[in-house]
Amino acid sequence: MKEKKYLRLLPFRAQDDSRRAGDDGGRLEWHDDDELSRLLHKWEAPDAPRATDARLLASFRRETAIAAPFRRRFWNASVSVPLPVAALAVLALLCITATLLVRPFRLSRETAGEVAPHASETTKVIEVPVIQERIVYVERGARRKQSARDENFSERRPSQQRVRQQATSPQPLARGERRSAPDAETHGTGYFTRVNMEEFHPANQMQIRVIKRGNGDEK
Amino acid sequence: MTDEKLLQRASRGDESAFMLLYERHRASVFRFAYRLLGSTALAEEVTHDCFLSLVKAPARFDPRRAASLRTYLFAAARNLAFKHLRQHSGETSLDDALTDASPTDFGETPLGRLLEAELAEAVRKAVAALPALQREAVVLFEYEELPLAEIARIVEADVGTVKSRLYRARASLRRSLAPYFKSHERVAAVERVYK
Repeated sequence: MKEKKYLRLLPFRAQDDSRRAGDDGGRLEWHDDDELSRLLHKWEAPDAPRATDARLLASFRRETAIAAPFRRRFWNASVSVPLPVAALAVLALLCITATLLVRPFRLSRETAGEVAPHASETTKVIEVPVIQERIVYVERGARRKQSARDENFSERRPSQQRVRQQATSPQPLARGERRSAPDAETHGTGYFTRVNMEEFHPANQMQIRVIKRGNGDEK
Repeated sequence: MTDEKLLQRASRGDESAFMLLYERHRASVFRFAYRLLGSTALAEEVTHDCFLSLVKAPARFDPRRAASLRTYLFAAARNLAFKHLRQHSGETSLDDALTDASPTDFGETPLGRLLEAELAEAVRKAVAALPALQREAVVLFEYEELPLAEIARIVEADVGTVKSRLYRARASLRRSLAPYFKSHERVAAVERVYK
């Protein structure tokens, strides 16, 4: 009753409530203010300047470049590197590439040069004569019954005569070949022919004979 | 293609998708910012930041909260505009006041053009004189012609509050623009006759 009276007294309230309920889809219909609406539309906003577009596009590119993962930035080549660092990096890359390209070629050449002879040749063992120098010391006791010429000779020469036998021929002798003696030796006028080498035995061929006389002990 | 799909592609770095999205909404966002701030330069700034924030954090746009991308953009523009208003409260651009007041619909005569310009300037001043919350309600309702429910989402208030703000804004505008109403002209003419 109270509500009806209220609505009767204020009829515009009911109309306002229907608008609040959303009958108009949330849009007010104030017919009284059409005049105000027309008046308000006399003020027109300018269009957005096109300078904003370029600025916004630049900002967009910057933002997406920062936000993009490194992989995408790498492919888009948007990683900023100082010029000297970039130059050094390129130089190092070129050097490494050149080294890697040249090295296998050189290695292949070297290995080819080493392996090929080994494969073609067979190993052959050759005996090479080695020149050996042997010094022989011979001790001879002075003979009492030597001739005067021998005594004189023994006086000039020391009691212990040293004979040096030196192999001087570097070339090996063939089988059955004998070294020819010098002419002085063959004629008996050489240095060695004057020495009586009749009882000469090399040190390693000397035979020791123990002569025992009688049954008595020598001690 | 829907705004949501375009936004997805734009957030992945698709420039054409971003530009398409921008072309769809740039005019309304700029107009809204301009009428809130009363300055072309500031409106440009707000529009730029608004679309850039969309790319920076696309996840902020939640279709469940904001009915559409337009609602989200208006809300973002509103927040940015209020930020500017707080920072530069009381500052007005003289250039804007002189240049932006020129209406596009000129009258036939020089006098008509002059009157149109005067009327546009009066409306601009009347709207600019409104409190920020009432101003945004008027701009969204009268100029952008958005439904009350969407306005309520943008300004983060309920529909009743929006209506209340609209009512007070209209009353205020009527008072300030009273000399330009035809009814007022008729009354004034009658008054002049009777005098």
